[in-house]
Amino acid sequence: MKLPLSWLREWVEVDATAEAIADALTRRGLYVAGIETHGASHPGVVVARVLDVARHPNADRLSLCRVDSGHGELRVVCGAPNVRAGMIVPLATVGAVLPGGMVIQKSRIRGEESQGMLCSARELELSDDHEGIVDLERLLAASGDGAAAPGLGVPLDDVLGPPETVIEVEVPFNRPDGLGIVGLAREVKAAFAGRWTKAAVERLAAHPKLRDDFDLTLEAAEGCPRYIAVAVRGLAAAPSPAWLVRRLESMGQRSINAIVDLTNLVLFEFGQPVHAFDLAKLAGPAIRVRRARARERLVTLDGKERALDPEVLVIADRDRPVAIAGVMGGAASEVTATTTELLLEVAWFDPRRVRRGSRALELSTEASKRYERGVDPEIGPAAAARFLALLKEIMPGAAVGASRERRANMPAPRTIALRASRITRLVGHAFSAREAAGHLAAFEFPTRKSGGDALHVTVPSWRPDVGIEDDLVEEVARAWGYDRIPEAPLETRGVHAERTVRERRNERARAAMLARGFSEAWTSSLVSRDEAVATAALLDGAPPRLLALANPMNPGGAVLRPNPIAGLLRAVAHNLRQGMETVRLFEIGAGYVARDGALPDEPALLAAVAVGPRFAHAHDAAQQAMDFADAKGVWEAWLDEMRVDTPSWRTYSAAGWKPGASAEVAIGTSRIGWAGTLGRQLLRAWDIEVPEVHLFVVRLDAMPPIEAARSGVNLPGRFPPVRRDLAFFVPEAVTHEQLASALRGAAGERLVSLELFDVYAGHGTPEHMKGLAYALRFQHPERTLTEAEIQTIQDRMTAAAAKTLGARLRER
Amino acid sequence: MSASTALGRGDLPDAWDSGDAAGIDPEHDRRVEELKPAGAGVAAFYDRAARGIAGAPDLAELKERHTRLLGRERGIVTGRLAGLPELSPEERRQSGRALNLIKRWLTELEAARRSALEREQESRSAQGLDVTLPGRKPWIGHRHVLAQIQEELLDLFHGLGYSVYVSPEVESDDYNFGKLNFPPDHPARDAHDTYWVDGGLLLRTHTSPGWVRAMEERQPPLRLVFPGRVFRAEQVDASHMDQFHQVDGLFVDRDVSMADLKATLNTFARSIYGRAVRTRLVPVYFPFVEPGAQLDVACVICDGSGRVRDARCPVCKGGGWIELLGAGMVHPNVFRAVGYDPEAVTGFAFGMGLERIAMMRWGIPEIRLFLENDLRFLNQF
Ligand SMILES: [Zn+2]
Repeated sequence: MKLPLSWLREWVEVDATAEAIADALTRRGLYVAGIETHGASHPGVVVARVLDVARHPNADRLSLCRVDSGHGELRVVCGAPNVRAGMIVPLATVGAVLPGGMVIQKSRIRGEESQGMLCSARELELSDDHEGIVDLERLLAASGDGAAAPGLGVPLDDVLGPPETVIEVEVPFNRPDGLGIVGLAREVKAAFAGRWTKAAVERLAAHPKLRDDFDLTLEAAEGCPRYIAVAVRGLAAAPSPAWLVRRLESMGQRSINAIVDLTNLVLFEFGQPVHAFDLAKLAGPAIRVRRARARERLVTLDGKERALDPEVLVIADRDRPVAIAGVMGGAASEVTATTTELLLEVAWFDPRRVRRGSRALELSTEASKRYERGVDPEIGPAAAARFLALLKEIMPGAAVGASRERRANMPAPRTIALRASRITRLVGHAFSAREAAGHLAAFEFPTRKSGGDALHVTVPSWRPDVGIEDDLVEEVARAWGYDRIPEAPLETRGVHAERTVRERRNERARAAMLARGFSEAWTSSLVSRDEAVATAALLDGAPPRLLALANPMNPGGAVLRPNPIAGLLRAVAHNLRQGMETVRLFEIGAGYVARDGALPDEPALLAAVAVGPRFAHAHDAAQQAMDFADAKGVWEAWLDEMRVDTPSWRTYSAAGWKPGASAEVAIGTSRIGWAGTLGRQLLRAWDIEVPEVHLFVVRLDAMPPIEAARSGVNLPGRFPPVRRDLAFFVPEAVTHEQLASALRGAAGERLVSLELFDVYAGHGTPEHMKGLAYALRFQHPERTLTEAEIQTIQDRMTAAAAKTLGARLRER
Repeated sequence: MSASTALGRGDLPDAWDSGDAAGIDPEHDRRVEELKPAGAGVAAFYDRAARGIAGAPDLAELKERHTRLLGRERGIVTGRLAGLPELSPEERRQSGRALNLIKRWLTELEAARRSALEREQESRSAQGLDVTLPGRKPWIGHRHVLAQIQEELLDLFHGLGYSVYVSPEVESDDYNFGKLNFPPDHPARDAHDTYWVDGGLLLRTHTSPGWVRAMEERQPPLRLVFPGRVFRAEQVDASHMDQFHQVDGLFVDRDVSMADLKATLNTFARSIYGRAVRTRLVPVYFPFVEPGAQLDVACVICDGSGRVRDARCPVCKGGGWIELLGAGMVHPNVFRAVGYDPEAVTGFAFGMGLERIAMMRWGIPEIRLFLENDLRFLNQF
């Protein structure tokens, strides 16, 4: 909402600068976004007429003009191509100061004397136009609907008006009173202990004389508790006066015609929408306020034909709808320059009803915005009186004809009990009932004492936002000033903070990834349907239970991601496009999976991608593109750091992975993650053209707790372990994981570690077999193991491997 | 014949003489002189032994010669020392002194020669190494800028006694709006452009639904923070993103006031912007708090003046203040919705955006950068 200072001063007597007013409004909850000055001042610039134009003898582009300045004839050299005899122009006389600071002097231009300067719009800072000099007749016609031609010699500032300072206020949703000059003026008045002007007092108390003879029926009174209808006859086409045009311009509203301009003026001034129908076009003439009937249609002022439904409250004449109540008028009954009689509507509509209509028709207007938030139900008569008074000023022949007000179920004034103790408790500063009453009085809330520390407070009609005691606490607090609220000492009050298991787990997961040289990504939760389906397929054969948006902004964000993979692949593609050759990223975030009859599951997931070489730098043979084993080593180290002691890696395949290069990770029988190299076809969907993209995904919720078990520790044995190496031949299909777990199972607790150190095929390997060699460490906590004991265990291991997997000990 | 006099140059190979004992031991000649009273043979023996150590060509030969002289089992000097007890007291005194000197001096010489040989060997093995070549460098990971800001905030509030509460991102209308005192059909909902999920759920538009869930689960006193991702159905551009991140805070107890709120918010502002930061608390409207408040900080670019070099400050748009967070006293209707008695407890809440804090701190011009994951951006943090 714009607040022009000159308009504000018409209402309240306040001696304060724009900056002070802005600051006071902000500190009272009407946040000021900025202060702007419209227009500039032009001392010494007057209205003049070009008498004749001659060629400059020494310059083709210049002309010599004789100009009537209102105080005599002057000779002026002009360079503008559009200058012509008879034109009404702004003339900067000798001594004039232009907004840019330039002072006009008598000068000689190419040998010809110039006694002033004809100005372009840019020189006057009226607009950016510098094509030619300003045609004042055209300028005023454009803004004033043919306002009277200005007299010669009149200062330009008198024609255009002085500069206006406008304060831009961000009015909160709950303060409809702030959408009118009157409401903002009331706040300023309270802030500076000012008072209403004499004119303001009269205008607020004004009430039009009504004859009770217009045919007006409230058929849907629940949506329209108050309606004032006033017919006005004897209208004559008349331009809006310059002050009215300027006023609307300062609100950012173009002048249309005098009647419409007046309705807009009243809207801005009182925050009360008013509408003028062309009375001649109303059947009856009569007004019925009712719900729309099925299949009724109306062409609104914006020229659109709208289908109405019974949710929508309409204003109808005897036969058909002529306006959508509180939203927009109909085109057929629009007032025009030739309108001779009008019907003025000043109504109070139910906010919810207007909101339904506005939403049903997807149409929001200055009027509907105010009605939805709650117009002052008692301001109608004053607004009507103001409109009629101004109309009569502009069109002296205007006379009130048939008129009527109807009311039904008007909201009753609310009274609220306010305890000073409640204010003290919430604000943290002691208030007495007397002090509270004083602050409330500044906002025109009547109060009376009601025993003890309590007040009975009557809420003014313009404050629909105040409904409970705590709302009054805020009124008192903001009147007193939030600045004055003290800072209480910070106390624990017996509440101590705890890091949750989830936080600690996520933090360790993050640190362990950072330590492996992966940067943290935060990617979009919204992905395309194709992306969601393709990435879900990597992790699960079953089609994913996706959550789709009902109102996506674009197809790339149509569904909620089932996992963070798509976002990471987008990041890979982006970075490769930007010329990067290495992308190592991880994300810890939610996936979203639909569930029947409950909120969706939001599993915590970690996903990581790796593209590029092993080292950030190496210039020797050690530097190679990461292969499956490099990537898996990273994931294994991460699992170690997350205290997953014995993850089992199992072969796993699903669509999207490179065939044979994907695995699942489990703890016991519970799957906690997936790892592998992505297939070309999947990558192509993200326009990724590098050969190897490694991916790792973990369900963090399925991970074991990261805390060490509290039941005790294993003391390091003092008898050093004994190392033995065993090498086996196994059938090709047997995996390391199978052999290792068979060996571990047979060995028992004396085997403290088993580590693969060689995989070989080649010379000496039997057909369809491969060699696997392990370093074993045996240890007893309390003594040195004997050679015979170790041999017994080894024999057991060898026998088990032979029996279950067909493994043969390789003789040395 | 005393044990020491039994020693002589002849006990050692002639070839040892080529070593330059004086080269590693400036005292050599004096030491030989000092041994002469114990017998010319002893002095000559020492001279040759010292030369042999000094001239040992490599570490293996040095070890060999050292063993020959001082080896625990067969060393010549060691053997003579072992024979001392068999001598008369006079002989024992004289020979013992000489032998112990020889042992000490040879041990010193051996250590000096060994380190010289080791250095030689090391420098030979490092030959051709260009130490200016870059190393084999592992990758470095960088924490996401928003994670850093979030961690900083959570650390601060953790210190003030707040624990983290995580609540769902996909919510019901009731938790996102209804229980937070947004009446149905109220214009305040218009400020929350909402993404609706098929089936009637929505993507939370703020982290405040977490308060409701926490209060429904627990009894006061409680002090919690609610970090997380929130969503608004907005067209994405340089200053708008349809996903961003907030941290809400909630403190409920018997008598919590705006004075507690102000102290908490100012502590927060001072921790983020330094002790000298100027703040102001102004009224603002949110349906779920009453009274409502907003904390502004003096613009860090223009120091609150609104002007930078005679032009309007681009950051605060000339106002001199920047919105930092929204706050207020929990609305009694919210307490009622979770089954708390608004006469029994009071509480405050606040909420802030991570992106906004990061953008101000580093002068980041585009909100889109946060989810784009360009490594050139991420790796600056
Ligand atoms: Zn600034």
